[in-house]
Amino acid sequence: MTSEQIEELLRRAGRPVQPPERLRRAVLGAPRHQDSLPWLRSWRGAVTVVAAVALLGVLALAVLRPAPAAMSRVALQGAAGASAEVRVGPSDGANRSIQLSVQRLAPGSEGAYELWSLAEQPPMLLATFMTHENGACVVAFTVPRASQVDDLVITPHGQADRFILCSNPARCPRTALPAAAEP
Amino acid sequence: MQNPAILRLRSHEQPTLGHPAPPDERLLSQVASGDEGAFRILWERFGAAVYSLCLRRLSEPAAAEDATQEAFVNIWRHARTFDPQRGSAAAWLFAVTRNAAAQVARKAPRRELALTVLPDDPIVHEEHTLLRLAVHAALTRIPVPERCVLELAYFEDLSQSQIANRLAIPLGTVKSRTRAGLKRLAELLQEMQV
Repeated sequence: MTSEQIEELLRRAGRPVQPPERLRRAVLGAPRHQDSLPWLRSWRGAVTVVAAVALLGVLALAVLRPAPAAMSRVALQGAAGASAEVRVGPSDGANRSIQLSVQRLAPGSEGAYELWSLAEQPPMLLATFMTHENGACVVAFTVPRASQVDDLVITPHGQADRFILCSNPARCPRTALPAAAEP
Repeated sequence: MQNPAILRLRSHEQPTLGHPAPPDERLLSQVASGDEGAFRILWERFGAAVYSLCLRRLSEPAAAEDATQEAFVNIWRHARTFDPQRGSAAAWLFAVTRNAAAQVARKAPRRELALTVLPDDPIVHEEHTLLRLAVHAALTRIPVPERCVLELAYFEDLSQSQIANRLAIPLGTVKSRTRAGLKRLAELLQEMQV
C-alpha cells in the first residue's frame, strides 16, 4: 500500500467515535460474568456427563437399592394373582427398616392401599401406598423397633375391614380383585 | 505542560504501547484460551472501531452499545472458532460485529431501528467498512506521537504547519512523524491482511 492510499484510507475512515466508559466497563466485565469461560466451556460436556451420571446413580440407589438385610420375610397373597412381600430388616437404633414389594395389585378405583399389622393390638397402620399401572410398587419405610410386623393385611385406603391381601390366608376371602396387567 | 491533544490521545492508549503489540490473530487465540488480558487489548484495539461501525449501521447510540457489547461477548465466547486459514482476524471481527448489529436491529423492531441502506455495490461497501475498522484498529497500535500527528492531519484536516503550532513542535518533526506513522500504518494493514 502506498502512502497516498493510506492517506486516502485515513480520510475516508474519519475519527472513530469513542465508546462511552460504561460500555467499556460492561464489555471488559463480560468475561467475569460469563458462565461460559473457555476453560469451563471445554469441560462443560464432561461436567454435564458427570453430573448426569451422578444423578442417575443417586436415582438408581434410591429405586434399586438392595433390600435391607432381611431378618424375616412375610408373604401376602390375594385373589387374581396379587401378591406382596414384606422384608423386615434389622433394627437401626430405635427403628426397624421395612420394605414392601407388591405385584399385580391394580391401582383400582380405591387409589391407595394400606398395610396393617394385625399382630399389634389395636392393629397398627404401617404404610399407605399406591401401585403403578402394572400393579407393582416397592415401598421402604421404618417402624418402631418393638413393633410386631406379623399377621399383615393390605386393605383399600379407608376400608380397614376389607382385606384384599393377607399373610394369613384364612383372613382373606377369595373374592375377585382387579387383576393388573403383566409388566 | 503537556498538550491537551496528547492528553486526550493518551486516554485511548493501549497498555502494550512501546512493546511489540501482538497481532490480532494471536490475541484471538489467547482470548480463546480464556486470557482476559488479551481480551482487554482486543477491546482497546477494536472497541472504538466496532462501536463506530455499529453506530453507523444502527444510527442510535443505545442500540450501538447493545450491538458492541453483543459483539464482544460473542468474541469472548466464540474466539476459538476463528480460523486464520479462512481469513484475517479483522475480517472475522468485522463479521461478528456485522452479525451483532443485525441481531440488535432484528430484536428491536419497535425502536424502528434499521440497518443502513447499502449502496449499489454492497461488496464494495463492505470492503470499505472493513477497511475503516482495520484502519481504526491499526491506529491504536502506532506510537502516540505519530498517531497524534496523523489524526490531526487526516481527521481534523490541519496542515502540517498548523499541527506544528498546535503541538508546539518543529515542522520537520511533524513531517518525520507523519512519514513514520503512514509507513507503520501500511505495515500494520498489511499484517492485518485487509
